[in-house]
Amino acid sequence: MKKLISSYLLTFLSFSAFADTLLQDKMQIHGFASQGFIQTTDNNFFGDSENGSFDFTELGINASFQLSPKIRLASQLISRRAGEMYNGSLWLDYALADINLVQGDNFQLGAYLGRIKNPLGLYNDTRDVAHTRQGVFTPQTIYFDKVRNISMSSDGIQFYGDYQFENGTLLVQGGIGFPIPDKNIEIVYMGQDWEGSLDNNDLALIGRIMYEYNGGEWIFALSGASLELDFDATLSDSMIPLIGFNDGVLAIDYTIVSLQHNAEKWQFGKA
Amino acid sequence: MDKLIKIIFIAWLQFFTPTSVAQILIVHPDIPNFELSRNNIRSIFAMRTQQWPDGNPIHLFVIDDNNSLHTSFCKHVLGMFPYQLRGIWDRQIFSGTGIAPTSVSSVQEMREQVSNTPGAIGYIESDQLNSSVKPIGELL
Repeated sequence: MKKLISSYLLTFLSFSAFADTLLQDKMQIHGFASQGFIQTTDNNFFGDSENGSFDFTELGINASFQLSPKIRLASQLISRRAGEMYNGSLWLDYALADINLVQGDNFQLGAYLGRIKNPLGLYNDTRDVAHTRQGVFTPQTIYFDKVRNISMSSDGIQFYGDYQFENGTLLVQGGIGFPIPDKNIEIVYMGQDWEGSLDNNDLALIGRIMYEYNGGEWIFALSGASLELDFDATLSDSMIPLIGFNDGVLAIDYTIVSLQHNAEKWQFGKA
Repeated sequence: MDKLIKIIFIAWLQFFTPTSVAQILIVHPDIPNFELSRNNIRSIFAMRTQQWPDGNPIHLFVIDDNNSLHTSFCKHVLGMFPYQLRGIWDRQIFSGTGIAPTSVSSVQEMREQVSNTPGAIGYIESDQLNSSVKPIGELL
């Protein structure tokens, strides 16, 4: 049986800055920085954690600019160091145009265009930001770190809308986009880093429907993604006996049911 | 006799209940009287609704999270806890899907900003209301 007991120290700071008073209404800049310490009794997680690991650093900076009353631009750069999986190089987390299409008395409808965070579960959108998640790590059964980039963001279009009912608010976000694969996908799903590559030529479907009852006292959500990646094998990949790969398709389907209860001092989540 | 007891009881209540200060919503004086439900107000404070029903932009002001006025306002007027609002704003800020409201540090600053910023909405204690801003608490 796997045993993972972790003790941790996690510090974070976040800051907000406003460019200057003239731009204040239109421009917002925010950032975050966190450093983790992980110690485990068995199994290493993010570095040599059996002897205590500091290999868990998350940094980010983002900006939002209101171009016109209906169009807003936003982007975030992150650097994430996590064991041997991520080395801290800069990563374009999202870069999008937010277009507000319709605003009614009780509803609104809009679209995001560009690189968009995938709305999966309740935390995927901001899982790298320490002070927005409930634990040191997000639960690995839902928010896999091993193949995170593919579930983090996608390049495409997503529509969003909300409707305010008498007792709560319905929020919907979803659309299509090209997933963003990296070498970790091959290692996790295909056993090793192959010479061939996974292509993201096929559009993925991503979506979330969420109901916030009574201002978020109870939150119910259903979210999911469905995607396919084409593997283009090289000759040497297919020559390897027994475990060799020819060209093929890697299909991933992912559904998450989430429930959260918010009380004054307690928050319960179930996914 | 019953009536007398009732009167005495009411007088007793009046005497012993401390004058309660309520938190009320205030808007810029030029904003017309819109009918807003509690969920409409929540949506404005979540920074989701960003336009008044007439199409003009909303400018939301809030007081720092740990200020007791903010806590009371969240609990009594919105029926939410401050950490829930902060969670919604953070999710929007760090996923690029929205922005945070403008933060002020005192009731005086709140009243000043709301009275000087077109489209502004905020909140204060009812005993600090003056004619520079317009209360809309009665609609709730």
